[in-house]
Amino acid sequence: MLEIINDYWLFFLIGQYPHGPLGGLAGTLLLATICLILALPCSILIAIGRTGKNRFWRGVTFVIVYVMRGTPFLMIIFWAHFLGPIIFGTSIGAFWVMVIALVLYESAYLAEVIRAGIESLPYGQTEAAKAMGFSRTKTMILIVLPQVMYNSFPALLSQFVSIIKETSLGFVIGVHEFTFAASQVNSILLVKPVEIYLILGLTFFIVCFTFTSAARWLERRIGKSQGVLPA
Amino acid sequence: MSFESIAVLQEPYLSWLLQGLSLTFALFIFSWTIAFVLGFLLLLMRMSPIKVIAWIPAAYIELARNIPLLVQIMFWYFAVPMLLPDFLQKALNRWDSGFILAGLALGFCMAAYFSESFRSGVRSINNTQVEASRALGFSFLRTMQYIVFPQALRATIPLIMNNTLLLFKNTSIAMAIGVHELMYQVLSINNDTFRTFEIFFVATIVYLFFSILIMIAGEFAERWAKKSRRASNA
Amino acid sequence: MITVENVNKSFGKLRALQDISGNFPKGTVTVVCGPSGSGKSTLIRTLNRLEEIDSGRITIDGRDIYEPNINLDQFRMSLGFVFQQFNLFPHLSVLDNITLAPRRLKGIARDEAEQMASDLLRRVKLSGKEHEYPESLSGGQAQRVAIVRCLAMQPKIMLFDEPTSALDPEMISEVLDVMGDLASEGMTMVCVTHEMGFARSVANSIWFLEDGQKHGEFPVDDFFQGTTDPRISLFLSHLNRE
Repeated sequence: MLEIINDYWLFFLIGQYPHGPLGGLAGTLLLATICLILALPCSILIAIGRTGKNRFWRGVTFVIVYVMRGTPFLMIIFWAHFLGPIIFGTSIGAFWVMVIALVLYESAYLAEVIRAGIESLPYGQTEAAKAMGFSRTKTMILIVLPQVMYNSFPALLSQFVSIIKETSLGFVIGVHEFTFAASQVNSILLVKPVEIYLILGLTFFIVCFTFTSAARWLERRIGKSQGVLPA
Repeated sequence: MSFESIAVLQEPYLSWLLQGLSLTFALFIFSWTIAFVLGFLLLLMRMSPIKVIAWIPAAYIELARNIPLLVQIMFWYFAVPMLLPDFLQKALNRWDSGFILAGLALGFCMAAYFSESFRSGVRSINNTQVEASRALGFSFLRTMQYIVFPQALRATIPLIMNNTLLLFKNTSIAMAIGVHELMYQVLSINNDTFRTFEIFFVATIVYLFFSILIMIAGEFAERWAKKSRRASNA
Repeated sequence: MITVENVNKSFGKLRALQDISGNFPKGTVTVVCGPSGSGKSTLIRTLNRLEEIDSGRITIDGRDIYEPNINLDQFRMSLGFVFQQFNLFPHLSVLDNITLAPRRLKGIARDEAEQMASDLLRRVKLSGKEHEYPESLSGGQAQRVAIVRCLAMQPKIMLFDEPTSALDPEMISEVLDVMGDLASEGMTMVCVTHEMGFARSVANSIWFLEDGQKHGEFPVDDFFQGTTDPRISLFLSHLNRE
């Protein structure tokens, strides 16, 4: 196992870069980060639609969330793979197909996290803002969202772990990421699958578990500070 | 778009689809059973007073939940057979090894999620409930039967339904190791007909249909749980 | 200044307000009291439309606040509303809680808003708390900040919805003192409260509500001495027993 790490660590880490696209673990993390950055604003809009008063937007966002939650992520990936080139008129490459698929899928899940945050905020907060003369939009931006983003931060971090794990499915359309790199190494060496998949699995574990633990730690901290809030 | 005009719903593709769907179901039921039973066993181990025994399921659950399912399936498919003795390897190959290993991988991974759901159900019960029951003169077993179990069930069922949905959707990942379940068949039909939009559309509807069934069941379970919780508070 | 005419409000079958009418004159303090569930909180909440009425009319300075083209946010800026649960914004410091509305709604510069906030905090004996967060304040401090937060918008009227009900007994007076000071400066105030000592010393008149109905409006002294209404006697005797 050490031998494989010794020979292929750079490949595991960054794929063929700089002689090819950035891949490996770096590709995975890049993909997950881009997805989170793009999906977060989308999910906030969906969550606002879901909790809002406008029936039309409530319906639309409800359908988006439930379709995404009810469809296997692989199906979304294949849809993006198929429709991406049609919509953009040109091949956009597996990496960006995967970004689109992840953003579509994760926006729905993140939206549910944020919606839960909005709904768990004491009603007095919006009421106080209302009584002071803040419009609905200003209340959302100045009062509700800052608190929701703070309170939901641990849950969002946990969702980031899900995103990291989901990037591995980019493998099926040939995205250059960590799982892809490992299976390439596997097909070069052929006789070392146990070692290679152990390296792959354990590395994923170290990365994901770090974020999971951080999320738990933050949750305890935030939970504690909320515990002493006056009413 | 009438039913007959959908080319991918004509033979032989209809049979392909149905075969895929039945294998998806088989995989779903197989792995769900493993996940449920193993999840429960993990919970029992975790409640053990002996530290080492309690520690094993805790560590396993962290592993299973922090490694992508695809990687776990690949490990089961590519690596685990190498670790097995010869006769088991042969036995595996005589059967559909892809199906069995994917089912095991799914079941073992989801067992971690199931176990966590069971545990949060048990933890949702306040210890004062047990004390109150014991003070009334109920034995430990009666307390479990009348007080703890019914309440834990209420808190757990919605979570289990959510895990069930996740498991159902995740059966599609078995296609990555060549199990001929629905997603695999869909891609085969696509390669054969190039009617991508049609076949993807049909497949999405099929998946959505069953997902929505599970979600509706979950919704009912949640309502039932909330209602009976309110009733018990009154 | 505020006129209420034949206001009705129901929650499902419950008739929370039945045909309420009356005046809250400028520069006066009115205490609204009554047993719990009498509709007093509902009444004060309709005055800035946190609760919508079913029928009737509410005018403030002659303007119908239910007219369709009223700018509700603009209108609410001229009314201060103090909640039982304070409802300070936990993600903002005391200073930001106070200056948020003046800055964002009136466009007042940060320096000016902060200066005003500090002045107001000194008046309620909370100097030095500017940079603390609501979670570190006691209930009495939090409610005084909530009052200052309203005052920073220079409201014409202050509405208080049971401002001391969520407080520990030893903190009640520090909030009532602030309210008393405010009254002596001539602020128009409507207070829903059980604090009869406050009512006796600060209020000009008292409304008594029960079961959604107004059972009279009394000058302060009459309420405590001269009324013959058995409901009021019963209410006062219950309060005294507490």
